Amino acid sequence: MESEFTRELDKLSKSEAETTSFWQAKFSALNQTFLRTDTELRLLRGDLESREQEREEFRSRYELLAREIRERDEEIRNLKGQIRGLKEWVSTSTRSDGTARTSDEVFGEGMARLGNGLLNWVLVHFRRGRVGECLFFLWFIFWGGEGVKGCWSGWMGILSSEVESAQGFVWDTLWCSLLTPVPDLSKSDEGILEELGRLVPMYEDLASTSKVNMIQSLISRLLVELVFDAYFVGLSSEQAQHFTQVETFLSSFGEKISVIYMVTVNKLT
Amino acid sequence: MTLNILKREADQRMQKETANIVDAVVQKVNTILDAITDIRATESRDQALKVLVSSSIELSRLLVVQRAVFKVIMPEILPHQRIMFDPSTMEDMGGEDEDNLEERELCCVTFPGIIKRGDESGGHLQYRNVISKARILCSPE
Repeated sequence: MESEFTRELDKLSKSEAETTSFWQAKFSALNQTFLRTDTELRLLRGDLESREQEREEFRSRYELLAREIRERDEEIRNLKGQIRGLKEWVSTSTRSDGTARTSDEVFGEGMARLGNGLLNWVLVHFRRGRVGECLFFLWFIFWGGEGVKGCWSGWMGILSSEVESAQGFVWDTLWCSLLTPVPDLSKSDEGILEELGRLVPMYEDLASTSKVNMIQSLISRLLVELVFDAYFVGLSSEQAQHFTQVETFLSSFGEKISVIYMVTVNKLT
Repeated sequence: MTLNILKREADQRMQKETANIVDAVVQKVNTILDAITDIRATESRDQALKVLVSSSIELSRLLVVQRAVFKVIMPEILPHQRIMFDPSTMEDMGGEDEDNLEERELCCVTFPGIIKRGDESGGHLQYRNVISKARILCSPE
C-alpha cells in the first residue's frame, strides 16, 4: 500500500515535472516569438517614421517646385505681355503715318452719333417752333351759315336723329383743317431765303410738312459744305488751295497721294 | 503723312481757324433760323450746336488722314428732278418698310452718309464700301 502510494506519487511528480517543462518550453518559445515580433514592430515603426519624414521632405520640395513653376508662369505671362507691347510699339512706330488705323466701325458709329445728336438738337430747340408767319384759312365764315348745315345733312344722306352728331363730327373736322397754320415765308428776308433755297432747294414744301427734317437738312448741308468738303478744317483757304494743288499734281501720276508718300518712305527706309 | 502731321498739330496750331469755322456754321444757322422761325437763338442752344460742329470737324479730320478715300455724300434734291431711293446708300427715316420704298422719290435728305473707296493701305481704289447710309425721307406715295 505504501509502496503503491509512493509509486503513484513518483508517477505524478514525473508527470508534473514533464508538464512544467513542456509549458516552460512553450512559454519560452512564445516569449521569443513575442520578442522577435516586438523587435520587428519597432523596426517597422522606425521605418514608418523615416518614410513619413521622407514624405514630408518630398511634399515640401514639391510645394517649393510648384511655387517656382507658378512664379515662372507669371514671369512668362509678363514677358509675353512685354513682347506684345513691344510688337505693337514696333508696328506703330515703323508705320509711315505713325498712327493706328481707324476701323470703318469707328466712322460709322461717329456718323450715327453725329446724326442722332443733330436730330436731338433740332427736336429740343425747334419742336414747338413755327416756320414762317402762319396764315389761317378763313373759309369757316363761308361755311358757317345755317343753311350749310342742312346741306351737309342732306348731302351725306343721314337720318335726322343722327344729324346732330354727324354735324358735330363735320364741324370738328372742318375747324381742325381750316385752322391748320400754313407757313408763309414770303415776308422773310430775300437774301436769306435765297441762301435757304440754295442749301435746301425744297424748303417751301418741307416747311409745311416737316419742319424738323427741313432744319436737319439745312444744318447737314452746311456741315457738308463747310466741314466735310473742306480740304482740312483749320487750314486757311490759301493753304488748303496750295495743298490741293500739290495733291492734284501728285495724283496725276495715277495713285493716291498717301500711296506715293508710302512708296517714298519705303524707299528711304 | 503730311495730313497726319497736320492732324497731330491741329489742336494746338489751328485753334483760331477751327474756332472761326465753328462760329461761321453757328452764325449761319442762327441767321437763317432766326429769320424763318419764331424761336430766337440762346447761349445754350449755340453751345450745343458748337459741340456738334466740333465733333463733325474731328470726324472730318479723321476721315481725311485715312489712306482709303472717304467721301461724305449728301444727294441734292432739286425741284422738278426725280431722285429715287437707293437702298444701298440710303436709309429711310419715315419708318416705312424698305420693300415699299423701291422706285420711290426722295423728298428730303436729313443727314449725309459716308462712302469709302479703296482698302486701308490706299490701294484697290475700285473697291467701294458704304460705311454709313445717308438718312433720307421719301415722298408720300
